[in-house]
Amino acid sequence: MSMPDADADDLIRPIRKPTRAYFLVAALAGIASVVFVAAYILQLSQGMEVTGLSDWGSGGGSTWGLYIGTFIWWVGIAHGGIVISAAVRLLKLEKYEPVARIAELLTIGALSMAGLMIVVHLGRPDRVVWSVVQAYPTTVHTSPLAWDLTVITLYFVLTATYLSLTLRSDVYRLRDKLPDILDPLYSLLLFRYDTDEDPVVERMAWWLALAIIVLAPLLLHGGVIPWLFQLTPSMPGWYGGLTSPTFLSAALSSAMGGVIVVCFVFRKVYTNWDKVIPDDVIWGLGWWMGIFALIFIWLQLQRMITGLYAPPLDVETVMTATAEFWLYWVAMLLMFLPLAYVAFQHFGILKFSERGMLVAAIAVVLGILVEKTLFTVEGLLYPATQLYENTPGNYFPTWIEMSSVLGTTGLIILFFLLVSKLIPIVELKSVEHGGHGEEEAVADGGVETETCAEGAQEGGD
Amino acid sequence: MSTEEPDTGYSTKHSYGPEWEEESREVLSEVDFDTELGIELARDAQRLSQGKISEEEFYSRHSDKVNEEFGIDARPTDPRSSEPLDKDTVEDALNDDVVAEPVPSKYADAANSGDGGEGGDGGNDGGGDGNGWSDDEDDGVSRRTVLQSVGVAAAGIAAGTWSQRNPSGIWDEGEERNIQPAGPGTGGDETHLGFVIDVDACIGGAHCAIGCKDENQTPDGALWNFVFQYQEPDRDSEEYLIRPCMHCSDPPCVSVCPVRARHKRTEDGIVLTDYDICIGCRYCQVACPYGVNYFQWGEPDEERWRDNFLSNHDSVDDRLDKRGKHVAGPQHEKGIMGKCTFCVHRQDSGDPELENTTACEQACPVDAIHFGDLNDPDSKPRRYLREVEGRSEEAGNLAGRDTTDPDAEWQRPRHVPRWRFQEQYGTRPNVIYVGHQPSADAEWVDEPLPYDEYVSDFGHSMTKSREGFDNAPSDRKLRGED
Ligand code: SF4
Ligand code: SF4
Repeated sequence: MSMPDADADDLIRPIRKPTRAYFLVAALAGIASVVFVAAYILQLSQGMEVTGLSDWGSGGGSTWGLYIGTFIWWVGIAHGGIVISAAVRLLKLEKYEPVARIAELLTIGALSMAGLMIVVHLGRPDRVVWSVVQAYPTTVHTSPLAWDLTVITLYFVLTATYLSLTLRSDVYRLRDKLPDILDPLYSLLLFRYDTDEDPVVERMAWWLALAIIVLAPLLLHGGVIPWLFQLTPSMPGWYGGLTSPTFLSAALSSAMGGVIVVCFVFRKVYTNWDKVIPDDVIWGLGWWMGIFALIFIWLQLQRMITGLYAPPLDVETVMTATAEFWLYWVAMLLMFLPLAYVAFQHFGILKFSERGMLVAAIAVVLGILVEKTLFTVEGLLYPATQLYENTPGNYFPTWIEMSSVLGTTGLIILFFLLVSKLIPIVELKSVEHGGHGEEEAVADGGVETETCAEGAQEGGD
Repeated sequence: MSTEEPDTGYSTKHSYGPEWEEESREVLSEVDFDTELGIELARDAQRLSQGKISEEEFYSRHSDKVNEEFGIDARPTDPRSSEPLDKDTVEDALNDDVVAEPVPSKYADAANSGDGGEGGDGGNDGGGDGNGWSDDEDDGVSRRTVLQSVGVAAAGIAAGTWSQRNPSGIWDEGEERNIQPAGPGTGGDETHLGFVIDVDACIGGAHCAIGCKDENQTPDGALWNFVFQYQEPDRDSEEYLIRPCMHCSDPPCVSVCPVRARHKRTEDGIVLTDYDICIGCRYCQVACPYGVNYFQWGEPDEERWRDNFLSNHDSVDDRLDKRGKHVAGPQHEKGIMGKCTFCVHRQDSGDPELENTTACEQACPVDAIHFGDLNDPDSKPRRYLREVEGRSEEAGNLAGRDTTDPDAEWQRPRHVPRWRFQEQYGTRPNVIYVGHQPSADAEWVDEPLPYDEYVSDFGHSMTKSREGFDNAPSDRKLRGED
C-alpha cells in the first residue's frame, strides 16, 4: 500500500493524526518522567543523602556518580545534530537531509536533559543562576565547569537559531496544511517572514553549521566536558590527554545511535515514513556509528595498555580496578558487538536489517552510558592518594538516581511527541528533491540490498 | 620538582648516631686513609646540608687535608662548575648502606616531590663531580678506594643528605625562608596562617578531630581534621598522620569552583567556602588532592546545631567572618560544601586568647599541632620549626665530644624530617609536617582508629550511617572484590 514517493502530506502526517500508539508511548514516557520528578522532589526535601553518593576521602565513596554519567551521556547524544547538519550543509551529503531536523531536535532535547542533570546533581539548585552569573567574569578564566556551562549554552543557542531559521520557510509553505488551532505558534515563527529571505537564510545556515561544528566536537565533547576530568592530576583514572578523544568518539557513536533510534520510531509509526527516511540513511548512520565505535574501542585499548603495562602505581590501581570490573567489559561488549554487526553488513556477510540496526544503536547508546558513569566513579574511588584505602565506603546508585536516566529519556520522548505535533520534523526540501532516486530503487524492487550496497559504498568513500 | 631524586636521609635507622659512627669507623679503619678525616668530612657534609656552613667553607675547610691524604682533591672548589653526580658514585654509596633506601611514591608522593631537584643540586655540588673522582684512577687512587674512605661517610651522606637538603623548600639556612607567601601574588611579608604538625609527637587519640567537631558542629561523618594510622615495616610503633585542609597557596579547589564560593581570603590566606553562594556541585571536592572536603548530604538538625553552637559561640553571627561573609562554622544548610576553616571565627574574634589558635591545636594533649602565621618568625609554628631545627643541629654537632671514647653515652642524634604533603600537584600546601614521612612500604593498620566509637561532647558521631538509603554492599570497592 505504500505510495511510490514521500510528499509533503507524509511530512505533516505526524502533526495531524494522533494514533493509539502515540497515546500509549506518551503515557509510558509520562510515567517515567513523573517518577523522576517525584524522586527529585524527595531529594530536594531530604537532601542528597538519598543518593548513593558520599564524600571521597574519609567518606570512602564517590561524590560524583550516575547523575554526572548521565550528564556526559546526554551531551554526547546531543552531538548528533551538529554532525548531521554539517554533513548536509558543509559536506553536501544531501542524503542525510531528511534526518537533519530530527537530529537537531534531538540536540535541543538532549542538551536540555544534560542541563537538567546538572541541576539535579547540585546540592543547591535554587542558587544556580545567580551564583553562576555573579562570579562568571572570574570563573570563566579558571573553572572548567564554567566553561562547560558556556559552551553548552552557546551550542544550545546556535542550534535553536539554526533550527528556527530553517523552519520558517517550511512552515510558510505548509501553512495551509497545518492545524489552525496552532495558529499563534506559527504566526510567531513566521514573524516578519518574507520569501526573499530564503537564500539569505540558506547562507546563514551554512555559517551557523560551520560555527557549530567548530564549537561542538572540538570544544564540547572534545574539550570542556572531558576537561572536567582530565585536568585533575590527582585522579589518575581521569588525568591525561587521551580522555578528550575518548569522550569525543563516545559522543559521536552514541549520537548516531540516538538518531537511529528516533528515526526508527518515526518510520515505524507513520505510514510511508520509510520513504521519508529511506533505508540507506539508516544504513549510513549505522555505518558511521560503527566507525566511531571502532575509534572508541581503539582508544580504550590505548588507555588500558598504558594503564596496565608499566604504569605508575596510582594509575595501575585504578586501571586494574577497571579491568577487573565486569561491568566495564559489558560496556565494551555493548560497543564491540554493534561494530561487528555493522562490519558484517559492510562485508556482505549479513543483510541490512532495520531492526538489527535498532538493536545495535540501543546497545551503543547504553554502552556509552555505562562506560561514562563507570569512568566517573572509578576515577573517584581510586584517587592518587592512597591515604583513604582503609576507610570503607562504596558507590552504587539508588533508585532515585536511576530514575533520572529513565526520567530524562521519558522527557525526551515527550518532547518529540510534542514537537512532532507542532512542526514538520523533516525538512520539506528533502522530499522535494530527494524523491527521484528513491523511486528507482523501489521500481527495481530491491530496496534492501540496493541501499545496503549503496550505503557501504558511501561509507567506504 | 623531580621524581627521580632519591629521597634518602630520613630513616632514623641510619641517622648519624652511635651505630652509624661505629659502622663508619669499622669500614674506615679497614682502609688506609684517615678515619678522622672521613668522619669529619661527613659531619661537615651534614652541616652543609643543614645550611650551617656554606659550600665554599666546606671545601676550603678540608681541601688541604684531602690533598695530603689522597694526593689530590678532585672535589670542585667552585660548586657551580660541578657536573651531575655520577650515578655509580651514588649507587655505591647507597649499596654501602650508609643511607636509607630511596622512598618511591606510593603513599606520600611528597617524598619525591617538592624541591627535591633543588636539593639534588646540592648533592651534586658537594658530593663531588663523579667524573672528577673517576679521573683519580690515573693518579693511582681508584674511585672505589676513595669511596671506601671518604665515600662511606662523606659521599654517602652527601648523596643522601644533600640531595634531601631541602626536600620541599620548607627550611633553608636555618631560617624557614621558603615558607609560602600569603595569597596568590602577594609577598612573603603578609600574614599566612598555617600549621606545623609534629606527627612523631602524635599519639593517635583523635582529640583534634573530636575537638574540631565540638567547636564547629560539623555534620555527622565529616572529619575536617582526620588522623590516619599506619605502620612502617621497619618500625615497631604505629605512625600517625594528621590531615586538616592544607589551605594551599595554589588551591585547585578555588580554581575549579564555578561560582567563586570557594576562595582564598587574601588577608591571611585561609581557604574558605562562602556558604551563601555555594551551589553544591562538589567540584572542589573532586579537584582537591587531599580529600578534605565534606558535603552536607542531609538536613542538619537545626535545633541541635543552634544550641550546641551557642554553647561555645556568642551568637550564630559567629558564622560570619569579619568581611560579613558566611564562611565560619560548618555548613548548616543541606547541599553545600564545607571543610576546615582554620577556625576562622577565632581568628576574627578580636580576642587575643582565641586569635592564632584553633580548636584542634587546643585539643591536642601532646602539643603536636602548632598554628599561626607562617610568615612571622615569632609565630608558634615558626618557633617550633626552629626548635626542631635545633634538635637536628645539636644531633649533628660533635664539637667538644670525645669522639675517640667508644664508651661515650651519646644521646642518639636525630635528624628530624620536615615535609609537606603531596606537593607534586603544585598546590603549595601550608601545613608543614615534622617527623616521620610515610614511606613507600607504609601499610595501613588492619584496625583503623575507631571513629565510630568516638563521640563528641555534643553527641555527634564521627562516622555516618546512611541507613535507609545505603544499598551499597559492605565492600568499599565498586568492583565488589570477594
Ligand atoms: S587542601 Fe584541598 S580543599 Fe584545602 S585548600 Fe588545598 S585543594 Fe583546597
Ligand atoms: S561545591 Fe560549592 S564551593 Fe565547591 S566547587 Fe561547587 S560551588 Fe564551589
